[in-house]
Amino acid sequence: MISSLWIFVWLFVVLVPFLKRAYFKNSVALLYTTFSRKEETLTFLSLLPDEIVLNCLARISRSYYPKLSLVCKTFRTLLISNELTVARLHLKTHKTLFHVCLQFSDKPCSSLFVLWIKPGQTLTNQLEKKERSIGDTRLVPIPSSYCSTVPFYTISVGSEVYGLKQYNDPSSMMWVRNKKNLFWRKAPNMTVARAKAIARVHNGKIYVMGGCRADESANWGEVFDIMTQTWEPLPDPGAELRFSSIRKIEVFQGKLYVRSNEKKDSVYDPKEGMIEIANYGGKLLILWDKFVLHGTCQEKDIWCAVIALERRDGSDEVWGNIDWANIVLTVPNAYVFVNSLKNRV
Amino acid sequence: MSSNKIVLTSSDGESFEVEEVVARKLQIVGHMLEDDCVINEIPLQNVTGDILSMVIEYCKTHVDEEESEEAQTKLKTWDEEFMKKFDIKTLLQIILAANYLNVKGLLDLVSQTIADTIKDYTPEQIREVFGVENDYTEEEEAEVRKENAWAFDEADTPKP
Repeated sequence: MISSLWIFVWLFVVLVPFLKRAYFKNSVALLYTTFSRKEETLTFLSLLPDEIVLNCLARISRSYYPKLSLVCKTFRTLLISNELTVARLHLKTHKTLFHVCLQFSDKPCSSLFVLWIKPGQTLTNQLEKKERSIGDTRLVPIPSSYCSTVPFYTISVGSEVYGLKQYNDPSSMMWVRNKKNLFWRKAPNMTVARAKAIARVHNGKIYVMGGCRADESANWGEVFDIMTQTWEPLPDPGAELRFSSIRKIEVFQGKLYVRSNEKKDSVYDPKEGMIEIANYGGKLLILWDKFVLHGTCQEKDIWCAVIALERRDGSDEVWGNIDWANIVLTVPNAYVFVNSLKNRV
Repeated sequence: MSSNKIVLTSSDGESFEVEEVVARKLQIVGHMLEDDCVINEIPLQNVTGDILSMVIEYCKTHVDEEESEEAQTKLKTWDEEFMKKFDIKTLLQIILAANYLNVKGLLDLVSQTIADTIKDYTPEQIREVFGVENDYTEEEEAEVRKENAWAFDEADTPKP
């Protein structure tokens, strides 16, 4: 009896330091859960392998994911996982998400947002309403439980799509996929790491600019030859363009024009407000901002409208029917609209 | 037309005699038959008799999947009625059996049924009905709630 007590004391003395080690704690916790679960009958997560749970979650619209991520840690982990995005591709439940990139004066990097529509709502046209209706449609920051993946800036070339991830941290990676295949593979790296660069295809070449350090004069812009799969630097465009906030490359009469957010740029003036138009699942999506004054606080409401287009019988007239129009985000007055993107996830 | 019969035996020893075309809907059986065509009794270790009988019922109904729109609509209605018969716990057992026996159509059907159920439930209801343990600490849950506030909160616009 006494000797067994000693063994117990000895065990205690020897084991306590071990218990402090994290891995030991984990295995004790694991043992504990295994034993405490013995009594439980069938449960969703303990019974089903992750791949089946994923298969179920991937069938649910992403709009529900913020709510579902509250259920438990496993749900949250699965919902933001890459495997879930892959499962959605396999099940063909992936949908086009509309993204925008905005620049705020108090942040060094531009911020990405994605359009979220509250599930189970009948959206209406709020344009004529006196009251500001907020909450059913929103631009929400990325990443979140709604959309965990950073979108690609996509460049379509023949049967292929090239993509640049819109990370805040610079990366020299470029991706490519066949239009029929939903999975991306690596393309040759750019010579410079870029964050949120912009690109344009012209004559079988992809021109990429910006996103790197403004004093990077040698490779501020570079061009990818699709035939030879090689990168070449472009001539330095000069400090003025390098230090400005660029938003689009246009091709006009065989020449490339870079649109920037500088005031003197003839194409775009932030003071006049922003209008962005996109094809959103076969419908017309229009995004614009409107100045609002809250007390002394100057802000802008970003509005979004989705318009169904219809050709009336026997005429060339195209009619637009507003599906819904609503405020999606309220931002400081001094923000700058950078660009918009669409990705199927 | 004479048809080859196969006997499927569940983990608890229940036997079901089915036509080979029906048994082949269980891909696990299909593969066994291809490997060795003389088998006519197949033990299925991971599925009990009551669940196996439901899987067989599904396979019998889906044995000849006709292309016609009318037949498809009829099958769809049958699927919906079939799913209504089961509670969540049975559905979970069926999905597990469908996965093990590799009956893709049934796996899809039950996954979709579970997905449709989950989406309309509150987090609390999901935990209760599916026996999912809330493993967030109070602080963690508040944090996740805050992160997703825009999805629940009516009053406030998200501020960047």
